[in-house]
Amino acid sequence: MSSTKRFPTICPSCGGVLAVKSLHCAECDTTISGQFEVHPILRLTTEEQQFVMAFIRCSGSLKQMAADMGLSYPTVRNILDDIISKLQSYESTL
Amino acid sequence: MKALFNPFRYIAGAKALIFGLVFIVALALLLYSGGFIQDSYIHIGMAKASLWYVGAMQIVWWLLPALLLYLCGVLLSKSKIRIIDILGTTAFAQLILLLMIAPMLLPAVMNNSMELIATLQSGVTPQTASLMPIIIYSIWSLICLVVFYIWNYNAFAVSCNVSGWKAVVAFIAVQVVVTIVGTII
Repeated sequence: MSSTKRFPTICPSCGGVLAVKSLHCAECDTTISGQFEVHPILRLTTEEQQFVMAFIRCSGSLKQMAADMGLSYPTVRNILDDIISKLQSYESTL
Repeated sequence: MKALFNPFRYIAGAKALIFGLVFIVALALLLYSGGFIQDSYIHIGMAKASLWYVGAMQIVWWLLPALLLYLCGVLLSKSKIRIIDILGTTAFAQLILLLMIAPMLLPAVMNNSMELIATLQSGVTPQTASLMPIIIYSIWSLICLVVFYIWNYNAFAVSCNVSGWKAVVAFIAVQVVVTIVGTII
């Protein structure tokens, strides 16, 4: 089982969008505090983020992605279109 | 299980179209060999027609709903849809019709049907035991029909990236239109 925790983007208490308040360097123990916005891509699910990574790795070739993922071309295009509309809705709420 | 009800998650486009055309040709040959013809959408009738005519009817009853679904996709979808996907997936769905019709040509089912028609025409009530092959075939064809509609809906949903009530309404509308056209022709 992976020990990596999923980056939380939604407040479990009120459902609002979380912002980053502090960042920590594990190497030198430095902590930076402030108000940092979470990029819309980070608000995608792990699977969706992996899809975006695969999309970049394939230079945006959906045909190549479909072949690599063992899915049909329209299925891959539909996943991409769903991610695009999700990102658009996130960006509109910024 | 997912692939059983929605194979179009995994196959579409030219590959599905090639398989689909093979299924359509096989279906036409099967119907022709049994003296049948697809005379409307989801209806098989008996007719002494040439192989070319039987094949042409197969093409018509595949192409007509496919093109109407494509038209709905163009109107409803926000995605850039490809006609080859809807043609390929709907052609691939003809596999279910092939599976539905193939057992109809089995001697047991064929003879049983003929006997049933003759018995009903003579005014005699048929015995339940003697109806077993046709009862089993009827259940099989009903299952195939349900799966055929599911596959066609998924072909539309995947190829055109449409979902929800809009997709359901558009799909039902196309089925109704095609069925009405089938009864008129």
